[in-house]
Amino acid sequence: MKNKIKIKMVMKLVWSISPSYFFMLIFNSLIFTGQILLNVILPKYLIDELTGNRDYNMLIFWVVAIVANNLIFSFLKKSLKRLLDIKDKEVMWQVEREFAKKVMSVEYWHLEDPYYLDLKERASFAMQNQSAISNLIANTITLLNQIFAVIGLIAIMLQLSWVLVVTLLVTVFLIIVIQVNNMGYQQKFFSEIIPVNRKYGYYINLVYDKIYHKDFRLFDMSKMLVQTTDSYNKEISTWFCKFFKRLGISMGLFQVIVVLQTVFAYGFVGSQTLKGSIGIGDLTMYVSSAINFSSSIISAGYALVGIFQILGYLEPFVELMSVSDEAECTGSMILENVDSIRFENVTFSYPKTDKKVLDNISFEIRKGEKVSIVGLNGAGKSTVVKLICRLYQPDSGTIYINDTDIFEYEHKSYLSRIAAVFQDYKLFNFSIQENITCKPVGIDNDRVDKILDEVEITDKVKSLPKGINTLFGKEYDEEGVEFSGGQSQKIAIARALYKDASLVILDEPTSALDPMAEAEIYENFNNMVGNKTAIYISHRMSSSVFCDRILVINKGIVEAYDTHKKLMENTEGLYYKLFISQASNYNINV
Amino acid sequence: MAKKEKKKAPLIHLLDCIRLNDKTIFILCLIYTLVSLIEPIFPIALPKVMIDYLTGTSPNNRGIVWIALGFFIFYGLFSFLKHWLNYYSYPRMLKLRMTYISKQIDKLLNMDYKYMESAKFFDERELAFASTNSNENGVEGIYHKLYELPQLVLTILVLSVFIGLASPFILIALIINIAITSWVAIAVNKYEYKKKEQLSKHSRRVNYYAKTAKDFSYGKDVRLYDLKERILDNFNTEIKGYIGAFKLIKNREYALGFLSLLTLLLSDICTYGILTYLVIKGMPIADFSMYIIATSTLSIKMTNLSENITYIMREYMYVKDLFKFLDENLVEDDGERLAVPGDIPLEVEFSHVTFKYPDTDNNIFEDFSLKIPAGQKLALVGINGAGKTTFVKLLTGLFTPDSGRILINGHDIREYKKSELYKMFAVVFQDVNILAYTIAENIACSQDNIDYDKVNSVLKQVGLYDKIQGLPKGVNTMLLKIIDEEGTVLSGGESQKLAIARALYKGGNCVIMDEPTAALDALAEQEIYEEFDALTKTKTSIYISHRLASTKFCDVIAMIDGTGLIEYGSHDELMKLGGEYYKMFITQGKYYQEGGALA
Repeated sequence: MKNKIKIKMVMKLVWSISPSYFFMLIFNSLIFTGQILLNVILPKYLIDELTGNRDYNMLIFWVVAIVANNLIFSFLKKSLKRLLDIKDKEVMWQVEREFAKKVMSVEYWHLEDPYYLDLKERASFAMQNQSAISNLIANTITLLNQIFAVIGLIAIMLQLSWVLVVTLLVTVFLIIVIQVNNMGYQQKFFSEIIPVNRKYGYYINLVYDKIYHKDFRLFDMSKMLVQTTDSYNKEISTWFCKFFKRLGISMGLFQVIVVLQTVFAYGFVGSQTLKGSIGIGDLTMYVSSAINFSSSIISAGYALVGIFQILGYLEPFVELMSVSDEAECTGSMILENVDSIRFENVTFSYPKTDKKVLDNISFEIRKGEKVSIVGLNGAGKSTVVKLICRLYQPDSGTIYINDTDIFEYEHKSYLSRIAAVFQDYKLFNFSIQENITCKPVGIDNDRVDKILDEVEITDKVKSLPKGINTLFGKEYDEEGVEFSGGQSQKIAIARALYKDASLVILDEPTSALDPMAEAEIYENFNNMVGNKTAIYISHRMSSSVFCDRILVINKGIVEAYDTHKKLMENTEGLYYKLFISQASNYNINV
Repeated sequence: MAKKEKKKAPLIHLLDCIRLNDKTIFILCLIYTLVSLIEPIFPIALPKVMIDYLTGTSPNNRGIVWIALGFFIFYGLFSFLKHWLNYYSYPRMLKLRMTYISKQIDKLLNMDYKYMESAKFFDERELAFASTNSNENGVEGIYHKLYELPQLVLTILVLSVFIGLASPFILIALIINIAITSWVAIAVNKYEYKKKEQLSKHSRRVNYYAKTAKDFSYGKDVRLYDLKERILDNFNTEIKGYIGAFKLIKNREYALGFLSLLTLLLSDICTYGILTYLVIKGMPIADFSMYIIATSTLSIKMTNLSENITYIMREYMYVKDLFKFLDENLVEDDGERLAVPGDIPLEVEFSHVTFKYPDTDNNIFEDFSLKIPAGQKLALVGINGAGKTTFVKLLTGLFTPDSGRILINGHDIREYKKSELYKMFAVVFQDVNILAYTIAENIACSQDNIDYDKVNSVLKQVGLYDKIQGLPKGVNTMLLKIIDEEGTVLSGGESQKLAIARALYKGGNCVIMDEPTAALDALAEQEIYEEFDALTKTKTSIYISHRLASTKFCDVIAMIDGTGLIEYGSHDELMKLGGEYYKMFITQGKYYQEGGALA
């Protein structure tokens, strides 16, 4: 990816977050340059006065001028730094927020694609471990400051002679040659080291993650992990040794050129004084211009190296941020109620894969019907749910709701009619109440209480210090309360029930519940969803007994779609096999 | 495990680490210090030499060229050396940090398991762990600063003497300026430390949103429950909260900064005023230029030194935490007893065991006793939260009972050496943790001496052999895609089988399966049940589940609830008893009966 594009994108992003930031940066550079220039110019007058008339008043005036100049600029710098320190942090967090916004806005399929998951991890790594954004900004500030200063200094030196300026620029050209050479190497280096670093990070993080440690201990895996991390340690430090050795030489050469510039300035300006055209005061002024010029060029060079290095790290971030958002859904129809769902010749495979997860399937769910989807692991049950939720689009075929293609419905109204509890449902560190209502205001407390009763979690919630206003989970705030898997699942079910939807989908909602709790959910389920249409997925075959019809999916096709009773008549069918294999364990022979 | 309680100052710790790993650093630092001491002489002397020459008798261009050339050679050489040495040494510090990472990892892997589950333990040591994660802070940061330290101190001494000889007032003013500036920096740091809790509370909250909102696995719920705007709004609020707290610190810094403005004024007045005065009193103008440069060099070096020291002091707090962690004794005393030989099944006895998790109030077990005769197949059942998994953690020695004893073949498990105790158990947990290693390594749990015949035979036993033979690299295929893009990702059922293969490979005298079928379909579940037999043979085995069907192939069922053992006996006995087990079994089986009856 072109660096120009990356810079442009980041700058655009930062501009959209805070235009005032840029003005602060520019003002900052002006102050920086002003101080340098005045520091170069003012001593000349003091020296001229000292080597000339030595008028006391004038001497005091120039000393005061120099001191005041330093004081005023230091004050300005300090004030601006105070503003920028805050602004930096703010911008950095806002960039994170934009990052989050993007993740929440992209077409859903990206989120299940390992490529994008990896991309996100790499982007986050750069943002956190390399503080990429704030580093980029800091380096940009420096670069800007130095460029302003260089321009001012050149203006001063041109007063003396263009030869000085041109010669200095020639040495700058040398610096650029070294730098360009360097940058190529650096970019190559970082593009190679980043993946190594990331892999290393994976193994290190394993060790910090408690979930693995039972296995680590019981299976005596510590040696293996130490071996792996050590070998990465070695690999990475070898890489860096090589890198820094080379960097040391070019940075040393850099420095030699700076010395050359300084010495040349003294020689050149010195010989000008020999001609008698300028005095000692001018000598110091021009020489210090030249010295400041080279140190500015050096800082600018470092900043530039820094910027390129960070841009390397930022590549995944930029790529991720460039993913287009979910297309504002084409449709404009408002979905009022889900009366029927119909799959017609739907074929689907996940993006970037060949395997047809669903192969030309058709079925219909009628209004108010309770349907169970049954199949082996990986048969495509959850895929059906995702397609109904419009998280993916079928490759071919059409899904109809109320005889209209689901993509013709307006996005918000469509999703507002569907409530789902996914296998890997997630709850947020909001209050319990907000987790259920998903709304901060306009809450119907009686309804919440009633639903808590239905999923049988009222006792638990009542026992909490702040009741329904207790924060869920401890990650956001220590005052929050951790819920067990089963309790969380009940809250997730409550959330789905609270949503004023006409289609309820439960995908493996009871796996973390114990048998008693599971039975309660089953028995209340029809009651809870009332006359809504419901789709139910579970490996507990007993749950399908409650459903009106069962959709049996086997290897991407509909094997059967009928009532429990009818399906049990086909003893060759998958459904019968699945049911019997579990039921046989429950022969009650007392 | 050595258990000597060493108490070394962190600085000694850091130096020791250099001594043990890379003594060359000392020499490099010495050379660097000498070079850096000489290097500033050139830019300070150059204006004096040049101006003296120009204002002297009969200056000419040739003379100027000679001066310039002379300075270029020496100044250039030293400048090159100084920078090169700096870069040359840099990665050596990185290496030192890596040794600390290794130590940390080793410590984490070998400390008692109970600390792993303690959020408090990790919260308290968060800073310690953070002190090794970057080039620019903690351990490595301090190393880089220490490398500069002798150079700064010596240069400052030399320059101070030099300037002090011209005018002690300038020196005093400079020192006052730097002292106040440093004091301000320290005061700000202290204030920041005082506000740390408040700031970390805000940063925890803002980090929660940063993490959650970016977490892909939240994507479905965010979309379906229309939470995007809500989360972004909250995120924004938290950013504001964080910035608010951060502002407090920066405001304090800003306010205190006015003090250093005052001292800057003082030092500038002294420098320019006194030097001007000295020139009037007869000091050559060349010396004026020289002292101006010397003063500003000294001022820069002093600022560097003060930053250097405040930096070290700040990072020292974190590094101290790290060393405390590394020196802490986190391993309980274990015994000397070796594992029971592989073919002898274990007899296990819980005797009056009482246990609660550290930092909690509720006892999971209270005066709990249970005996598992050698070779028995026990089903441990109970509702969620009854303590089934805790039972496993206690038996395998991951946690230690608060009171009571756990006996293996008549000996308290505390008599066994920890590593020997672990050897005796082959455990399959509900959550299978596949690591990014090859299939063979995942099964053997080692990278050396893998017995490939055994790997193949256990893969055959669990029915994964054909699938894995079909992969291009067979058992040497990497799992997961994080390390190797060509890696293989196993399905839930396959992962369970791999975990069983791992347990089979390990062997041991006692097999424990903890809810291995929760996420599996009915046929896969059935397969696992059948493999349980192959896995256990004559060994003592414990099957934990809330799916009561699993009890069919066990000899005895122990039913526990939050208080302890409530029912014990064979399936038939417990069904006859008509207690809790009966109720649970009927509840679970009821719809199979009805469903079956409908057929």
